[in-house]
Amino acid sequence: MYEQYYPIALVFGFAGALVTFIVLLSTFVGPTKVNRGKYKTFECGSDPVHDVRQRFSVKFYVVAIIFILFDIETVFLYPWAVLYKEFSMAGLAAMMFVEMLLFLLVLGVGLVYVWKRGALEWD
Amino acid sequence: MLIKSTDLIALLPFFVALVAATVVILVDVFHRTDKPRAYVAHIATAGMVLTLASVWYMHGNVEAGPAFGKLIYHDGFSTFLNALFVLAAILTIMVSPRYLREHGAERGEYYALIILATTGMMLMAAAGDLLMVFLGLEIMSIAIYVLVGFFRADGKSAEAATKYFFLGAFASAIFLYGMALIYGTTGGTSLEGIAAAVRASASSGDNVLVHMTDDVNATSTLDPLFYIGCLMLLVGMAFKVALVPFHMWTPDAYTGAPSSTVGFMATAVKAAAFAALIRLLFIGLGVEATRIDSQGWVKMLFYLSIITIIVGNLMAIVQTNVKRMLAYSSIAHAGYATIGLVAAGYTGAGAGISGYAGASSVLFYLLTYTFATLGAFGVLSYLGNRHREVTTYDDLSGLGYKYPAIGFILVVFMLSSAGIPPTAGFVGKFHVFRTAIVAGEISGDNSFIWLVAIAFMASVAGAYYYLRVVVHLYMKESNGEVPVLRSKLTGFALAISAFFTLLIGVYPTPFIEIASDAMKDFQGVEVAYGPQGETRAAGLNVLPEEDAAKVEANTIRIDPIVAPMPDQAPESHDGHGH
Amino acid sequence: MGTEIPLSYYLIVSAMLFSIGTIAVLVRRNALVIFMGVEMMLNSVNLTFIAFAKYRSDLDGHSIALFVMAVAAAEAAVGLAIVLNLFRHKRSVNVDDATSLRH
Repeated sequence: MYEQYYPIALVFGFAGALVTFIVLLSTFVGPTKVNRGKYKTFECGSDPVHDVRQRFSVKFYVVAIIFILFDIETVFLYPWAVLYKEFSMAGLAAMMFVEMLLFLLVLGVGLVYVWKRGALEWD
Repeated sequence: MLIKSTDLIALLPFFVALVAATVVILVDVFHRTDKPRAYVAHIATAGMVLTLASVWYMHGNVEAGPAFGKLIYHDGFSTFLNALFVLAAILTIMVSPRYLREHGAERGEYYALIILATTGMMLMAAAGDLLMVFLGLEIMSIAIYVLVGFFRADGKSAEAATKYFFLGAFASAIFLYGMALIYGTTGGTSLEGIAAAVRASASSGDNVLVHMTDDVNATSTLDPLFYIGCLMLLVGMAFKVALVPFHMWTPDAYTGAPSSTVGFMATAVKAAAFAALIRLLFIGLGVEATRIDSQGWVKMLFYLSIITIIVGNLMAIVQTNVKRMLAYSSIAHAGYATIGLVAAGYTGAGAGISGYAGASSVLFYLLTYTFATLGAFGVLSYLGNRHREVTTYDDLSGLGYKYPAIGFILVVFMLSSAGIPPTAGFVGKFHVFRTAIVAGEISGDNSFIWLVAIAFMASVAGAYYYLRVVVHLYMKESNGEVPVLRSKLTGFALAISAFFTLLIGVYPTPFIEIASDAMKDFQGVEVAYGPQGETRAAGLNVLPEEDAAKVEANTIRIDPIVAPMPDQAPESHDGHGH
Repeated sequence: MGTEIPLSYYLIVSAMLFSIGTIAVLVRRNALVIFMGVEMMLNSVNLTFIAFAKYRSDLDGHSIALFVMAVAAAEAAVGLAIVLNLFRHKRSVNVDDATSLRH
């Protein structure tokens, strides 16, 4: 009955193990030099307590928009992934694969454009 | 509805255009120096010419039919309109480089956006599914929003972009909600599926449209939600076409946007919206119940076209800004084209000239309108420079003598827009009006005579503001120096537009034939209209059943220019492409 | 499973959301609020699609909703850029301040 949940348990287990491993690794292996800056709250580079009506740099807007675009576009990968098996049974695996490659290629061109235009440069 | 790999050929023009846009973007983004980047425009032009070639190849070698389970159609209609869009894009690209450089906005994105907008338009013309209409609409619109605001340093451009964006997005949302309601009530978004559902419900009395109760078995006649959905679809498209109650964005957007962009917006975007409308109205809502019954779209468009023509022309008369005048005139032109749509919708598929040929008059009108309007805005972008803009009538004073060639070209465009022979605009208007009169004769309905009479009087009134341009060009004293952008490419594009405007004016037959051929293998309507073709009219008046002979007679008698259309509905194309 | 929520509930909620969005577009003068109104309209449409799709056990509505989301994101990107550009010129995002095109 619960066999179908094994993959999810596997994912959780793997994720937990990975996080634990990385945290432990950085604790034991990383250098531990304590200073004031390190005890500040880590949140997007802005102070944790301040006036709400503070203005953000417009740089945030560009990065946020680019993030949203590329993030949302991946939504098309999910139905494709679900249907891929069905299509490959009908002998259309190559076509489906090439179609998704083309889609990713277009996204890649978008990334190259954004990159070369300097939208990802912080300073 | 499994996709076949043979369907991919139907995507050829889209693919070529997409590759062209990609190449343009990449070339431009890797262009580091500050050298003039006119070659980007050349690459864009080459890409569009290749797209045109692929459209031509499809026309000759790929049989008309649906692809991807009727998501898109390939037929004469899509071929004609694809060619029109690409032609408009080429002319726009040719007009632009010098103009953009003058205004400090020479960036390769401009051309890429034009090509992407063209891709969206092609999708709209090919769409066989509401989702495809929506996607094409958005691909086109989003590119155009950016093009309107392309002069980033210019506050007017920013303002125009804001207004256009908000009303465009608003219209898209309304369209989408209509689409959702239709999806819910008919069970799909395929245009043919909608028609089939409506037919089934109309013929069986109790119907397949699920009434919105929670009882799955409950039925009723056509669900009110379905009509609300149809209405919202029409409103959404009317925003894009700029029919009158939904035209508020047009003057501001056209005034503030770069002139080269406006030419493209006023022609290709409008043509694309008409293309999607024809697909939507003839296939999806082509059944009597949604077409000519009392709640049908014919009646609604009938009144919309009247107020559009009247308001467009009257508002154009009082303008002092030429760009604003042209904006209102483009609204009026949309009204004239809608007359053809109404006439075609009124009589349906089988009724000779006023059936399919009625829609072909819309296509022909769009063709004539495209050259004249694109040319007029091209001239506006040619005149003036970054210090001295040409916007009012007074700015045009005396230019006809100072620049005889450009003056002559502008006169040709104005005469064509006013519908004065021997220009294309006259033939286009004549063709649309005649279609409407034939539709009226077939049905014995006087309202069509009134429609044409109003449209004719409005176009006579409209001649005033077009001829005012001519008067200023040749009969007023020049006031001050007006510079021009000396660009051979722009001049060449304008000359091509003027040449075609005159050619169609004096020798229209082949162009009219191309337009009517375009409607010959129109896909998807055999389901909507049935093999015998419906000619009964219930919305505006009733066409007596025994008048079939009269229909035939009219077709031949009133039709000196075009060969009569075959009366039967096109053969079924079910044999391929599923 | 328990009792299912009837379809009409979803439709009424989405119609209300759509109306709120429409009113925001028509009444409010702040460009960003208008923009949120448009987004709300699009999302109410998504809700309608999903509700119908669930009701009909049909996957088309789900896939259309995905398309709408992607399109809305693209529209948001362009729209925000346009509003930002307007702000640069007018130092305001009130659409009533954008009057330079009127004569």
